[in-house]
Amino acid sequence: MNKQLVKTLLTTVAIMLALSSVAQASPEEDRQAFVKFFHDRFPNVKGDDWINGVYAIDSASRAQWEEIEDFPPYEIYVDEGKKLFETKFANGKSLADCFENGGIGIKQNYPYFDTKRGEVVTLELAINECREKNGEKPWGWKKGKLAAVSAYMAWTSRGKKTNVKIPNDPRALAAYEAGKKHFYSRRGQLNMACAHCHMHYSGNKLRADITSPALGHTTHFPVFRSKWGSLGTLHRRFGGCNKQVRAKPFKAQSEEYRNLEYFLTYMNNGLPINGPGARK
Amino acid sequence: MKKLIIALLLAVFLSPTAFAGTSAKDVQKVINEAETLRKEAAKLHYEWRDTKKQIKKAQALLKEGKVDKAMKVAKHARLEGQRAIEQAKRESTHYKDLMP
Ligand code: HEC
Repeated sequence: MNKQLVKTLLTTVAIMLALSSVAQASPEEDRQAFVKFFHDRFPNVKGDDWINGVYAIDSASRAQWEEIEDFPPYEIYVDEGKKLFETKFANGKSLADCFENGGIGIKQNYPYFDTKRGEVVTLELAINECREKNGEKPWGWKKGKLAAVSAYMAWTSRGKKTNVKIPNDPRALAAYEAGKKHFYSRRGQLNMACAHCHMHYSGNKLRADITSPALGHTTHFPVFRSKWGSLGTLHRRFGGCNKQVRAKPFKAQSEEYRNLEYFLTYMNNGLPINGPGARK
Repeated sequence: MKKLIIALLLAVFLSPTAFAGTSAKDVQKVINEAETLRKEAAKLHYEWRDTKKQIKKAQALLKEGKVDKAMKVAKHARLEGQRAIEQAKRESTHYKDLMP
């Protein structure tokens, strides 16, 4: 091989390597592209109205929803959650003892990446772990008491801006990337990704529903859904959406869903918490 | 010639399964293959919603002696397993196509 050729080859390889490291966008660049996508697609949505889901883009159903919000169906759950939150454990401690600021006004910092444990910790996970640490039985993950307490904690955080951080730890970035991959991957027999329904076709009618933009997806959870007739957590919704495309859902609080929540909530950084919410 | 015809007739009557096409053993083999593929898809985090149900159904049909029906369901489950694995492999890079 002649020297010139070797030199050209080596330079090409070097350039390709450099380019491929550039091609991996940072989470912050991902988020900016994500936000821009929705601003371009729905130029009429003003300010933070994304937190109202499909009602931000569908004026027909918005009026009905605003009526519901006059007498919010989740109010009784917030009250129940407050009582449960303040009830002492058998050992005399309570949930407040496990959280920063006594658990008040902190939802915007969840989920977070715990660098000691090397995994994503969601608010619901932290609540149940607090109970177990204090000798109490954990609650069911998707509804009921856990959802009620989560609703109360969201309520005390209303208006605080979502503030999910990705610490400088390769495992945190890997968790974020795993969540991102779940969001953009085609799944199930229908071969559809979250990003199909909630990005590229968002605002289109799917049977009886218009699909909401993913921007704003996490701020109002847990949510009271008329269809459920009760409150449900974000992971309950993930499971439902996985099943819609005939993919096998993962368990609530599985690593898969915690990573998905980590990615999706990071995309919503800066949007105010408005949970609990009400939806169809 | 006569002997040959008799032999052929005997063969037909003595081995009905060979002519019905499907044996219980064949079905069990497909069910086992379907289950292996389903597990593989699950390991890759891409299992489909109904594959497990189909495998159970095939096994139940087989138990009832409904061999042909069982085979049909088992083959469908096996195909789902194969396609879920293909999907996992494809999406390991192609998920990026949908990013803004
Ligand atoms: C086949 C289309 C489809 C797919 C794919 C899909 N969803 Fe949904 N999703 C819906 C529909 C329909 C609703 C209810 C209407 C709405 O609010 O968008 C919904 C609602 C939601 C909500 C609640 C929105 C709110 O305002 O309360 C979240 C969060 C959500 N989906 C997340 C996801 C995630 C994450 C994925 C991927 C795992 C996903 N979805 C995949 C159709 C889909």
